Amino acid sequence: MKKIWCRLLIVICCVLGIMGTGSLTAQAAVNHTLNYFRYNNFKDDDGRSWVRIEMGMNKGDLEYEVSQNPDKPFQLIIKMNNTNRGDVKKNIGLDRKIARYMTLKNENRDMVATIAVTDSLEDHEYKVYTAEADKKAKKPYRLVVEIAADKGSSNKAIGDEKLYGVEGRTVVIDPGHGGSDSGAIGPSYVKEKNVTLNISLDVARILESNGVNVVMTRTTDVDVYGPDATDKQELQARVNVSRRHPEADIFVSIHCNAFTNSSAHGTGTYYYGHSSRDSLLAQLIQDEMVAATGLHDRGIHSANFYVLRNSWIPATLVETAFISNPYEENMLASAEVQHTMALAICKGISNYFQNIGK
Amino acid sequence: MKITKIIAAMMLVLMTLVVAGCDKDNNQQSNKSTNTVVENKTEKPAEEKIKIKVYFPNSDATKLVAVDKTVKVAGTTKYKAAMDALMEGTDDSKLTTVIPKQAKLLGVTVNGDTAKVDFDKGLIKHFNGGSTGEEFLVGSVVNTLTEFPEIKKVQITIDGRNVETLKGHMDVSKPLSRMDELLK
Repeated sequence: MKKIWCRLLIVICCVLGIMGTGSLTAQAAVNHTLNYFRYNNFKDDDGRSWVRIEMGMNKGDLEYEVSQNPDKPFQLIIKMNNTNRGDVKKNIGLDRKIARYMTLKNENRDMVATIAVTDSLEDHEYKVYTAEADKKAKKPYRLVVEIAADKGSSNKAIGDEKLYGVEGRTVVIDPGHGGSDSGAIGPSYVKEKNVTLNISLDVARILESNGVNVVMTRTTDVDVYGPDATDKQELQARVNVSRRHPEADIFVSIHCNAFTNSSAHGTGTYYYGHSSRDSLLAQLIQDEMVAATGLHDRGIHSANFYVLRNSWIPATLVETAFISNPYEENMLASAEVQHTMALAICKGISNYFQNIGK
Repeated sequence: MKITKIIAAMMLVLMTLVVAGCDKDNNQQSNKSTNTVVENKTEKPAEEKIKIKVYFPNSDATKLVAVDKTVKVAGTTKYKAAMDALMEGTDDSKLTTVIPKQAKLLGVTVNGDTAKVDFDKGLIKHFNGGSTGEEFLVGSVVNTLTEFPEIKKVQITIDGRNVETLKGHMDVSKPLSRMDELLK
């Protein structure tokens, strides 16, 4: 007998559950009335300026779509489904620093809010979200639009790209070779200079999104000093980029290794050894590279390399993998592996800053 | 029987003396050497030979391996003879010839404890580089020459000129000491 009652209870629960969901959908179809409007300027924790626009409704569960008109880059368009305009003006002036004005227009059963920003929307970070009624602040359920004066933290690090202990640091990234100097060339003609640039740009992007001030010795396929300079001019030019930034904390040069025999393989990191910080930086990057790529661990080596010996700050040279080895050349050419390596280098840098403290 | 043994022993003593003489001064063709050859009943003219060590990287470039070679030093210096032996390369599949075949050795000169090794541009042009490649190319030259106890440092030049690096990594602008770290 008990069993039967249990089953019945389960069935009832299920039916109620389905009805519940059904009623929610039904509720969304019910018309909303826009009857509240406020805007204000504010600054966030990072000191960035924003404008917040609040459009209040008579009830919750609003469905809305956010879009941009490619022909009108200055406009942010928000369509509120099944919404009528209540006690709110059609045209509303805004702060004029970030956003100029907003227009409300009915389209079929929906309401379209068009917000004109002062310049291209691409240059602004923005958020659109709904907020529940706030009785204390006497605010109803509302749709909130926040637009920043810049695009700043729109590229804030998320997920596995979030690094610790790096914010406010200055890192010099040196993509090995470039321009007239292709670096080593693999058996399938993959060029070192292109691989090192791709990895370095990714490293820079990840670091910057974590609040690091990144200084690059080059950001395109060029010689740093100039075409066909002497080795000394070219290498010294890279060192000088670093010296022009006295605030720089570390120098990281990114390369692909090569050897006459194609069987040589693995990942290795070099340092000169002005201080223990050089080898620490090298070891922490090496550890992350080995863990992330699964490549053979060639360890860290002290070496009389020009850019390392002449650096005034802790410096390391990462030999990601052997471009002269067909298997590793293939890896180096893959965008996915390049990203894996970039992330590993960033984690090593993060570990370094956490290790040395403030 | 006894007589043959005595003769053999005398020959050995003589040869040891000759080899010792060679080590002291290889540039000169000593008369002793010629005499030995005559005694050995070889008809060819004198050719002084010495045993040297040249260094080749293993195939995975994790270390330099010493290889014993016997080279003629007739009409040349033992330093150049050693470099020639190094540049000849190796057939050992476990080792690698790291100096490009197209590179030419223009000369080896010794000043004090420093040997200056001059290559033509072929060394740079036909070398693919890489930190490891550079390290082991330079290391093989430096360690082969510092195998001679009187040589403490080696300077690599291209067409008679000092260069900063071969392929953009290692600083070779100054004379380099023996690279023992590559032997482990």
